[in-house]
Amino acid sequence: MIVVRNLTFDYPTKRALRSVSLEIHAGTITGLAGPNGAGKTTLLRCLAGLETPVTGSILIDRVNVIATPRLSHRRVGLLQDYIGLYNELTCRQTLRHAAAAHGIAEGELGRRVTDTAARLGLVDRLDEKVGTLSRGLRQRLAIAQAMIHRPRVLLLDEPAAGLDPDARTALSELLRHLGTEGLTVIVSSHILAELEDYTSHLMILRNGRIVEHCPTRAPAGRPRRLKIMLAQPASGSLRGMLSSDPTVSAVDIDGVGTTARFDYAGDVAAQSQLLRSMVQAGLAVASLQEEPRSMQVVYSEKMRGAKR
Amino acid sequence: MNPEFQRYQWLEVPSHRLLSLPAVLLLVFLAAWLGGGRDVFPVVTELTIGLLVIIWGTRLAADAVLGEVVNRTWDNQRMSAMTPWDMTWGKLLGSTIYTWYGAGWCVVGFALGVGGSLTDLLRLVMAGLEAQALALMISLLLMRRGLHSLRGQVTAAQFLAVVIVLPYVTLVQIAPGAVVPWYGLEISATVFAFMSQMVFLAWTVGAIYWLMRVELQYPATQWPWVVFVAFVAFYAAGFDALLPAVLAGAGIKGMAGRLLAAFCGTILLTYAATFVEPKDPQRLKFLVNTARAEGMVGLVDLTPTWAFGFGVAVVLGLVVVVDLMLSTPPGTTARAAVPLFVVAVLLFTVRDISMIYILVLHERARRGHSAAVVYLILVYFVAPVALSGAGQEALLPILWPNLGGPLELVVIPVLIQAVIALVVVSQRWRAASTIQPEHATMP
Repeated sequence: MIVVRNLTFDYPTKRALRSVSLEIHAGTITGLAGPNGAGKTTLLRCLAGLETPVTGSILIDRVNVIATPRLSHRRVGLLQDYIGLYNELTCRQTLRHAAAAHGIAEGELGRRVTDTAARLGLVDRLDEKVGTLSRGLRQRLAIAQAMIHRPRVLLLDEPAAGLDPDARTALSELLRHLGTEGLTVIVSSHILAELEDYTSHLMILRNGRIVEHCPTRAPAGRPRRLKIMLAQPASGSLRGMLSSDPTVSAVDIDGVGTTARFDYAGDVAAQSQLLRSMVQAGLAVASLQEEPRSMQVVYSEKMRGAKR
Repeated sequence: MNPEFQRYQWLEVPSHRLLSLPAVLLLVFLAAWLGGGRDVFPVVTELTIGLLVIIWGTRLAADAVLGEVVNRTWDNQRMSAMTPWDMTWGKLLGSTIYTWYGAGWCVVGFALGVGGSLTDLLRLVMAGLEAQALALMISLLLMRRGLHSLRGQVTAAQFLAVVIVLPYVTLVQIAPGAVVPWYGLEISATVFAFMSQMVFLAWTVGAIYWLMRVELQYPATQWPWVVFVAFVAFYAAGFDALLPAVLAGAGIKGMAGRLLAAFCGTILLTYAATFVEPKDPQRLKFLVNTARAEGMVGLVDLTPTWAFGFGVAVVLGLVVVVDLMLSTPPGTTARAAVPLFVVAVLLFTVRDISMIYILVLHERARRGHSAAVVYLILVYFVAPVALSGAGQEALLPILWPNLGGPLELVVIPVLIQAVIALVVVSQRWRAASTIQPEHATMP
């Protein structure tokens, strides 16, 4: 869906993006992380066709964004880090204006406004003035505005910034829901724990370079990180059992001998067999579960690596 | 309906404002009637329309796009499917709709027999349209150079628009029955001002359309600007009768006078274009890459707008010199002085354009263009006055293009200044284009 090659962008005295290349597949939700000044906003603005890079190419849905930005705008919706709305308009007027500005036919405007408001949970707010809405609702309205023309790609720059915990939870649910609708979404955020809730991929930018771009969950065929907890310590026999299994690697047992973490290359049937063997061997297994590699861990590792 | 015009309708003319403005206007007219009787109505009507559409309207027009940028709604509009023409008339008439609503009530008063003449009314309406279009155009031009201070830039756009339109509005009052000499014709000032305003309104709306094309990322070639430069040359050439008497005394009249007037007009346009031209080195870098990939087509877009005006000025200057060589006998003042004068004007222009770039590209320049204005005031007004005060009038050609005087005083000093300025600007350009390699901090 999105293919970027050797994208370089300069501000008057600073290079913001350094030969960035990436590919993002349709229907994925990519979390874009990185420290302040890493180039996240610049990358999103370039993808939206709002900034012209010095060199490089961007294809979105096979449209050349740099050569034909107007064409790409039909396929892309952008929510900027600062919510730009007209406070004196009602939500209905805001969405109607956005729809009309995107060239939606007069006869279809009303239905499009209602449909989009329903997707974003704003139907009962349509006749309220924008200036009276809470920040969370303004954020929703801004997202509704960005997707009223049914773009195939949605770019969200720090959508959770400034939201209270309830509004953040609601936003996470909304983005998860959008992911199920097949939209390709890129979300930049500082809050990695939230990205973990709904993203399928993580992209880390540092000093204008991509230092990591990976799925947030291990794809099929790759080892998963498992965690086993015992009710009673049994460090020796646990290590012995795990070491004898050829599909197990990178075993890490805690000092007490009740918790072990390991990479497991077998499928779920083999995992069930492993569990059965442990129980039969007399280990007091309390739980065996997959431990997703936390984004924070990946982020910290990559940041350390990038600094070196 | 145009979505932008519709939005302004919602924002600018809600029901309570629809009622309040006529009520206020009614009070104004009532106060005028009580204070001065029926006779003051024409003046009050004209003044009210002027205040509404020229003073207030220019403010609203200047704020139409700059306000969107500050409120972060402009990028949404840039990403919409609205065409440049939709944006042009939607913004121009939409943002000022309330002032025209007020002016409409004044016209009602006029129709009821309390206003002035129909000619004056038409003149004001045309001036209002032109002032508002200018304010929007200038605000777009200022925005291309980056947004520094909303209030300052809106005020600058409003001020410039009013200043440009004011001579047309006041010409008739200052000199009733005056005539304007243009291409040998004696045209009534009222008619000339009205016709000029109509023509320049068309050009201004065209300029807004072109700037909207740029903002909305449509392909925008430089050719309309080239045609405008040619038009200005033609328009200015008609004012040859207004050239200083010293020129006529020196034998510069007829075709040479017209060409010289056109030459001066294009030089002024070159200065104006230099001020509004974006001077971002990164933009140039992108254009250089584009030109490398696309050849000559890219090179036309690469050329700064002032270069077209300067190019036309060079051609006109050359034609003036050739015309004088062919039409005047050897030894006349015109034949001896005009070539040096033309060369001096071109060199002063090169020096000043370079100086503007030097000041704007300075790494610590926050108000480079303001500094450039100060520089021009210093070199063209303060320094000559100081020189004259010191009794050194003979040295004035070093500071001003002079008609008459030897080569070593009229051309050589400014040639040296221009060369030095070019060397410095090339160094400044290289420094400004250099990117610091690491630890970038971006917005």
